[in-house]
Amino acid sequence: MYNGVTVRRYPAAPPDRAQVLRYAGIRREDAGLRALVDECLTLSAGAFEWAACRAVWPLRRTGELVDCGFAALRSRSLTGALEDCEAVAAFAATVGFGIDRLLQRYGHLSVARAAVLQAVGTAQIEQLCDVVCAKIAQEAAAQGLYARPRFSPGYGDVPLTLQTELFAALDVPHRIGVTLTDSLLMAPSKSVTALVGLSRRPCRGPAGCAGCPDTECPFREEKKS
Amino acid sequence: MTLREEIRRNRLYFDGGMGSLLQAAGLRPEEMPPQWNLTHPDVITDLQRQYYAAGARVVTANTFGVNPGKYDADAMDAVIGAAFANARKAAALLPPDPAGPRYAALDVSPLGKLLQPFGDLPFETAVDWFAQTVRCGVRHGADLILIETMNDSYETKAAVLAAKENCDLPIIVCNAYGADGKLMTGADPAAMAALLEGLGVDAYGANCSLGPQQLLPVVRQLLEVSSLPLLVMPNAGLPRVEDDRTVYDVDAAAFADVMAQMAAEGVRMLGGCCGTTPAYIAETVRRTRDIPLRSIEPKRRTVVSSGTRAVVFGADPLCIGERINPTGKKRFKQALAEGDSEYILQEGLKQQQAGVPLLDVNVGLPGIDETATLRDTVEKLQAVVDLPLQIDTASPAAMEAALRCYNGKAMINSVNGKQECMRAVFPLVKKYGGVVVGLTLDEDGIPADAEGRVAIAAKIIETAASYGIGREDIVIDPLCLSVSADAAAAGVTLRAVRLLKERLGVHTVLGVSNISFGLPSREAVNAAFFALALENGLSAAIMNPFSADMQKTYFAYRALRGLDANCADYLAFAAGLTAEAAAAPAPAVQDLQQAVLHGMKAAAVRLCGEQLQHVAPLDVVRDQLIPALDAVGRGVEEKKLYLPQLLMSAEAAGAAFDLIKEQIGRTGAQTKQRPPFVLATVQGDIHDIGKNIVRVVLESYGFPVVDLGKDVPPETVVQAVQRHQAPVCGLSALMTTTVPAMEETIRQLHAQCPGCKVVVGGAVLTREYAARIGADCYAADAMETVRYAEKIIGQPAEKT
Repeated sequence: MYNGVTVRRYPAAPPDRAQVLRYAGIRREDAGLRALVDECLTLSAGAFEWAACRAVWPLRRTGELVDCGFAALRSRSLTGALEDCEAVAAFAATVGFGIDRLLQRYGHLSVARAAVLQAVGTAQIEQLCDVVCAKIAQEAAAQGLYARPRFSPGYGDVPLTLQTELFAALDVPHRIGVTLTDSLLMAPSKSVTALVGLSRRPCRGPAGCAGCPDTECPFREEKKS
Repeated sequence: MTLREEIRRNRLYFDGGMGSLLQAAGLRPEEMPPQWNLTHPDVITDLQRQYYAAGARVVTANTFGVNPGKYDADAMDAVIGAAFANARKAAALLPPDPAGPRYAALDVSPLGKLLQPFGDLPFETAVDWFAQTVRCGVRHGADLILIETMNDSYETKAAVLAAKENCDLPIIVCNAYGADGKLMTGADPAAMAALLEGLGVDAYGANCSLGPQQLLPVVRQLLEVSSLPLLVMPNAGLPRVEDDRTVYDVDAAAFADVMAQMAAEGVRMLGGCCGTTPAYIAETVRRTRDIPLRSIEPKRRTVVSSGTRAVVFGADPLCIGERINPTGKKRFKQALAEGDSEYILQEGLKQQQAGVPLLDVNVGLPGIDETATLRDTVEKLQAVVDLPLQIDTASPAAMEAALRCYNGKAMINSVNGKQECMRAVFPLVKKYGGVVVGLTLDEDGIPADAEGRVAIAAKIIETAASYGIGREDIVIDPLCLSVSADAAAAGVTLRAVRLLKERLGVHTVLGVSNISFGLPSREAVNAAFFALALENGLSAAIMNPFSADMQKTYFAYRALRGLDANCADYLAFAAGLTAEAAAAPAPAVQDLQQAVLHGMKAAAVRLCGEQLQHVAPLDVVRDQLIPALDAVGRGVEEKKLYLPQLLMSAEAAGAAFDLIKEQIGRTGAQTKQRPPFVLATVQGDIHDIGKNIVRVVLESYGFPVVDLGKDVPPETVVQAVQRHQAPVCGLSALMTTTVPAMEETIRQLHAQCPGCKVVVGGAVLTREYAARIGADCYAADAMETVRYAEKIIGQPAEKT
């Protein structure tokens, strides 16, 4: 299982319109908004190139220190996220550079379009993360392991500096072209890094928005029954 | 024979994968392969010996990823020194190769950072990092600079410049093309060919990313346009994990099959990348060594490029947008004097939307620092438009600054027949690449006849040749003078256009609108002259893309001359004309307030124009625009409307506002000159959509805004606030890691601009956090910023 870094390029799936609306903060579309969203979906069609790289490390704990193989740190949130886990998968994913060019251009041409394009990019990268996580879960299942929800540097008390170690361990710039700025921002911007705990026990408690303590988050998804 | 001659004349084999083999030998994911030069020199030497033994004449020293961003000077020296010692030792272990000497290349690879403005690495820092790596490689005996796996055209240019400026070794460049046949940042093979041949590399090609079969289309595109030898080093197909090992899906025999195909089609130099082994190289050598070399035909293409695309001069005429030029444009001059780059960017974007393939960029204005302004304009423009730029300046210093930072092979406007001018311009064309416009004037002025102008063109072409610049990189402008001053002017120019093509075989360009200077209804004259010039063989026209007459002439000419298959472009153009005409008389709303409320920009502009016929400009603002915007703002606060609707309304009101400003300028109505709101995204932060939203909403309320952009150093913010005497400055930051830069900017502002209030916003900020870092105000969104601006600067539509 601990066999180095897997790199994959995926055909980009079409953006999920409901998610685009959610990230654009649109709860109900009228004709004007519908036309705007349609236009942005057309503008960004073909702008996405999905790629991801990932690897799995055995997880060790020494007292409060969590050792993920490529980095060891003390973090309450990480300890919680990786509870009961014996291994940790780390991944970096990006939907590519094309959307950044569009955002740069429409930041000058039309901020209304830039705001919606931004939401399209976010919906895309989240879709890709779901695909990558499903793949991680599938491979873990073959080893009798269950995958936990993904968890990114910067969440809770997990320091953003973990990005530096994660980028080095996965050789992210070389493998999928994502780079880190001195202030630890990722470029291209629609990129995500995350950890996924792998455990012998199935996940307890709600996942996704329902499991998040931030009930005021503007993007929180209402559970539909 | 020197290596440079061998590259030009022979088939040369390069080595294959290194990183993938080191992983198989036990390299851990968190270890950098070059470290093994020091810790496992025998493993490296043995691998390279195997590559030489397989027939590779060039091995790549194990220096992938070594640069000053990751290594200090001593560590870099040690690891690169060991890399070349290992490679030399590998060669010494074998009997001499009858084919010739064995070489070791310095491997120059991506820095792992994206360049500004999409990342945070300044272009000149990239050049400097590459330069340090190159000098270190040269010190340790590199035979060749191999710049490889580059996935960004701009970073590629930085690496090539560094190599050219720091050594005389041969330079070969390989780019990593994706499955879409483009680099990650968008350049296609033709664009890279233009850039690299312009920069004067010895050879170029493709490596990594794809297997040989998927790389074949890219290779064919390169073969079609290239006048230089190509090097191709594909991966062994796609990797997959099998029994805890990474394996590749193309074996040595299948790999060599495709390599033989490439060799037969004209690829001179062959090697491998990830997943390939000495066996792949041995098989490739066996399969290709008897394939005869194909001669490389010089393609003599007159081609310029941007960071994504190439534009070729040919039978189909090209239009060059002329609007980025202050000559005769009051508003443009004002924008330049005020450092308002947003206005200039809009001019570029609008011309791109109007469909021209090239943009002229001229920012010459007495009293401004043209070198800094031109460089800044080029850097900003190339981030938002895809079109190749024509750098238009009379100042060699400004020309060099712009050519250096330009992401592509530029068009250069201009050189002329004066010796002094040619001495200043041609070395720049040679160093940075470019297609230069040659004006047919010299120390004796502009010849009155066509023959005289052709003679000057011949002199320009001949002198260029002495600098090693081919005639394909020269486009002649035989100059057009006003027909109102000289009735023969048009005839002379048209004859010169024809003769230049017939006698010298060069492409031509004209600034066509000069012809009508001093006449009324100039567009009629321009369009007729344009048609005549095209019929005489004109290759390109510098023209106004917003002129309907010029566009009609252009599309009609191409259809008539058989340059537009099935008249498809003409039909599309004509459909646009009819749609415009049909849309005009039937506004969907009758009222300016409604147009703003519904975010209908075109309707808002039209209705605002109608209002201005009988209502005072500031009354339109106070009674129509502001109430409409306030209503939308309230709707968003009450969650009945959403942010994109506010933005569409703001864009509509902003467009109406531009019209009002024009009207005020025309009528000279007395208004209070309001100080601007200075906006910036702080240093280290490259996400500026929030800041852009605030700018547009502020502008829609009529506040003048100076937008400094993103990743702005504190000192720049302070200077701008002082220069504009701004009473308020807005700062944005997205991440916790950039808040310290915000805090420092606030500290400097408070120390040096005590009269200026600071309002902050951004995803990570809260009211408490903002107070703690010294901000005067926290604004959760754009509307809160407007309210704060009203408090500090005053209500927008106040009269004096």
